[in-house]
Amino acid sequence: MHYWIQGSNTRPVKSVMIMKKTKILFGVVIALIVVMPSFSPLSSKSLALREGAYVKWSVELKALDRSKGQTEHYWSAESYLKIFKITNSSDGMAVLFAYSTHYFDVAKGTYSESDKSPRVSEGMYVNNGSTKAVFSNGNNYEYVLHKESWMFMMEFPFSPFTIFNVKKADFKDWFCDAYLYRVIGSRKRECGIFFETWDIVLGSRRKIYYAEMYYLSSSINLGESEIPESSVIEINVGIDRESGIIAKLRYFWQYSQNIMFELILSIKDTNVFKKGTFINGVIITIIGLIAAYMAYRFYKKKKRLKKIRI
Amino acid sequence: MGLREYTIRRIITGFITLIIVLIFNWILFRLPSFVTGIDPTWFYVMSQLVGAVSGTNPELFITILLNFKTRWKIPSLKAPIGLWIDHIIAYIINMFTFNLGEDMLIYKGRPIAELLVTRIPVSVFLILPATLISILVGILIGARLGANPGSRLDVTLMGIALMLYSIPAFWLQLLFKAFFTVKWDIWPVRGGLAYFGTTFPDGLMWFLDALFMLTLPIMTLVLAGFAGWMLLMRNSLMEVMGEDYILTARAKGLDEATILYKHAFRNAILPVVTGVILSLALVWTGAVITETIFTIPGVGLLLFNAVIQLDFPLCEASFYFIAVCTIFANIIADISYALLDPRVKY
Repeated sequence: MHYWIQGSNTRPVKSVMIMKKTKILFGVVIALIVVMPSFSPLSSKSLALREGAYVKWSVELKALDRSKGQTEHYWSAESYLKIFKITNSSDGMAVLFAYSTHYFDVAKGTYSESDKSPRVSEGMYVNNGSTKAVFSNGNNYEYVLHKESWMFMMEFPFSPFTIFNVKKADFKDWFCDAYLYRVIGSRKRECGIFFETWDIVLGSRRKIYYAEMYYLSSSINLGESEIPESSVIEINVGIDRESGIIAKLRYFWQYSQNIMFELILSIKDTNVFKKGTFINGVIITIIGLIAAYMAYRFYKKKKRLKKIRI
Repeated sequence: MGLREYTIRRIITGFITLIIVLIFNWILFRLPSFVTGIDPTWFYVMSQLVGAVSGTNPELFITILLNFKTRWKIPSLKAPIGLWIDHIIAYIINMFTFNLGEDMLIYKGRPIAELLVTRIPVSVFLILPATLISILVGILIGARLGANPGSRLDVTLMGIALMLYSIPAFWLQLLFKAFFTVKWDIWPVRGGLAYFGTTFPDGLMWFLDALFMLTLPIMTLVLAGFAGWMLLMRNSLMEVMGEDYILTARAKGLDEATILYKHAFRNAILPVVTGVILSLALVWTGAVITETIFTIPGVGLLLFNAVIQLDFPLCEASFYFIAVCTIFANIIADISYALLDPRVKY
C-alpha cells in the first residue's frame, strides 16, 4: 500500500529505466545476430582442399602405466597444414602446401627403454615449408599430403595431413572397405564400426563421419621392438562430413608390457568452416530469452500501472 | 493446492528424480573408464577373457569387442557428442520401458528383466510376511505401552526393544543361523528355498517347503524390525494422549478402551501409516544381507552377486529397479498421507 501511495512520482522513472535496459538488451541481441562469425573466406560446404585453406591441430601423447595405474603426460604438439596453390592439369592435380609439427611441453621424449636418445625434444619442429603433392585424375577418395608418425616407427592409418574426398557419392562405401575391413589372422574381417553423427567442433555443430577401429598393432608396426604380439590398437577418427578434414583422432594401444600409449589429436583452428556458430547460437538464445522475459515483465508492469491510474 | 494438483506435482517431481537417478546410475558404471581413459567395453571384454586360454589372443579380443560394440552400441569415450547423446537417450528410453538388456557375465545371455521378474516373488515371499508381522506386533505393543508409559511392562519391553533395535540385523541372523542350523540342526545349513528339493513354482508343496525354509529368516527380520515400529507407535500415542480432545473424551466419561482405540489410536497411527506404506512398497527390492546369509534366491542376492562379480549391466538394472520402487513408494506414501488425514493441506 505504502508503495502505491508514495510511488506515484517514481513509477514513470522506474518504467523508463526498465525500458532502457530492455532496449540495450535487444540491441545486444541484434548486434550479436549481425556480427555472428562469418569471417571465414571459404564456404563451409566446400572441401578443405582449396587454396588458402589452413588447419591447426593440437596433439597430445599420454601413457597409461598399468603397473602403477597412473597416466603420464609425454608431450604436446601442434600440427599445421596450409594449402598454397592447386594446379589442375590433364594429368592430375598438383597441390603446393606446407606442413609442420611443433613439439612443446615435453615431459618425456623417449618411448622405450632401448631408446638411447629422446625421440622428441622441447621446441622440436618437423616441417616442410613448400611441398608439392601430385594426384592423378583417378578416383581420389583421400588426398594424403603427408604421413605423420609422431616419431614412432609405426605406420598409422590416419594422419592429420590428409583430406578426405567426402563429396564422392560412394565415400562411405570406400571408407568402410578401405579401413573397416582388414586381414586379421588369415582372412579379411570387419574390424570396426562406422557412424554418421555430429559433434561440436570449434564451437560449431558439424556433421561427422565417425569410426572406431581395432587393428592388430603388429599390422602397422614398422620397427618397434617392444610392442607385444597381442597388442590391439584402438582408432577413433572423426572426419568432417563437409570439408573432409580430420576433426578428432585418437590412437590407443599397448606399447610394451605395462605401457599403453594414447595419442589424442583435435582440431584447434581452421578457416575451412565457420567457427563458434553453435556456441554463439546458445548464447544468443539465452540472452534472447532473458530479454523477452524482461520485456514481458515490463509490459505487465505497464499494464498494471495503467489499471491503477484508472 | 488441492489433492489432485498435489498428486500431479508429486508424480512430476518423482519423474524428474528418476531421470536424475538414471543419469547418476549411468555415470557410476562408467567412472572407471572416465578415470583411466580406457573404453568401457575394453574393461568388459578384458574381464571376460581373464583366465581364458585365449586371453591373449588379439583376434578373439577384437571379435568379442566388435560383437559387443555392434550389439550394445556403446560408443568410445572419445566419440562425438552426437553419438553420446543418442546413446544416453536410448539408455533412458530402454530403462523407462524396462528393456534392461541381457546379462553377459553371471547369467550369460539371459534377459535381465526376466531375471528380476523370477526373483521378485521370492523376495516378496520373504519380506512381505516379515514386514507385516513386524508392523502388527510393533504397533500393538507400542499402543499398549504408549497408553501406560512408565509402567513395569513399559520399562521391561522398552529395554528389550531397544536392545533388539541396537543389534545389527546381520549379527542376529548369523547367531540364529549358528544355533538353529549348526547346533540344533532344525534347518539345513545350506539355506535356500527348497528343503525337499521342490522347484518354483510347484504349487502347494513348493509353498510349504519355502515357508518352512523362510521361517528362520522371517523370524530374524521380525525381531530386528518390530522394535522400530513399537517405538514409533509408543511415542506417537504418548503425544496424542496429551491432547485436549483426549481430556474432553475423559471428561465426557468415556471408558479408557474407547478413548485409546477410537480417539487416540486412530490419530496416533497417522505418522506410522507413512512408514508402513513405504515399507510395503519396498518389499519388491529384496533384503541384500538376509538373502545372502540364508542363500535365498531373491532380488537382494542377485544384486549382491552382481556387485561381487562386477556384473555391471546387472548392477545397473538392479539399482534402477530399487530406485523406481523407492520413488514409487515415496509418491504413494505422500499421497496416502494426504488422503488419510483431511487436515493436511498442501
